[in-house]
Amino acid sequence: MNVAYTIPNFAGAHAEEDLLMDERDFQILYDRTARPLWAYLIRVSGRKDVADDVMQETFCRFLARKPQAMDEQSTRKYLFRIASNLLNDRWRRKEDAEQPEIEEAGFSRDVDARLDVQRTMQQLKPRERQLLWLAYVEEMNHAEIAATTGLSTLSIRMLLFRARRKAAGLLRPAIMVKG
Amino acid sequence: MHCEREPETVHATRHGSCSADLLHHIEDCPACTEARHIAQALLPEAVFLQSTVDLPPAMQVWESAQSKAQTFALERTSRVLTILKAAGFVYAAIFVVWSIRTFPIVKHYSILPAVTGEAASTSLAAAVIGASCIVSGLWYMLRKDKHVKALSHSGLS
Repeated sequence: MNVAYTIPNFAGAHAEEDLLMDERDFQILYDRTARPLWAYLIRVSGRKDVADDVMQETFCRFLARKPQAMDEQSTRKYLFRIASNLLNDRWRRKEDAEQPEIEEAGFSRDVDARLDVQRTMQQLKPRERQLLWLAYVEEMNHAEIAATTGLSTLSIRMLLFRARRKAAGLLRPAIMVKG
Repeated sequence: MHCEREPETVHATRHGSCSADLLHHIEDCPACTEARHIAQALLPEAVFLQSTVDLPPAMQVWESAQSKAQTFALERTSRVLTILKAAGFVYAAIFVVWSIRTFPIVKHYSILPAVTGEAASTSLAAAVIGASCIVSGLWYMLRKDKHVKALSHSGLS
């Protein structure tokens, strides 16, 4: 056995030890966080393939980065941060230039309401969708959104205000009809 | 523009527990009214998406993360080996050029005025031994690289 083989084999063997948690811990974390994370990704990116890819990559990076012990809420925010960074990278490379598709509403209770939401989201910019989702679904405050998206708190305040006005304008007719 | 009670409004909308005071405030506050409308639209959508999504099993993601971690670790160490190889080649090349120039001179004169003929011979011998070790190591590594490449081309690795 020579050095050229020994070093990579040693590194490969210890890569498993580099992962921060065992399978059972990961299973619990995944069960608690994967669904909200995927919902965020699908609504912000508008594409299932992107949501699937980014989610998988998010967990891989999370495991590889060996963060310090965190409570569930912090872990969740950390995952959203990784996912948002990955989305930002894709937007920068213009990989997701296609318009999000309006998916079939399926057999939900309120098909019209779902379609309204999808149409509204489609008319918003990805950044606006992202901010609205983090603020109104994930209930993050401005500082948390800033940490997740990498923008300044001041920018978040302004961008979220504009996104809220725009979304409210797009949603309002549907809400008014529903009473 | 922005209301301090917006997060409270969103929280109450999510949990369906709006106090009379907050309801009264929402009626008078355009920011909170909009926030409530948007939350009312997005929250059921989030619930629906989360309940219908078909996620890959956790173990599949776990295994993928493990394999990626191994790949990163291999890349990291391969980089060190590449640097070592390059350094070896540079050393070998410099040694060859230097020895071609030095061997004829050392037969008759000292390399440096301070180094005697005997010391120069010892230094040269040490350099030759060093170069032989490095070149043989490089040759061995290159042979192994060739072998690994042949295996990967045949799909056996």
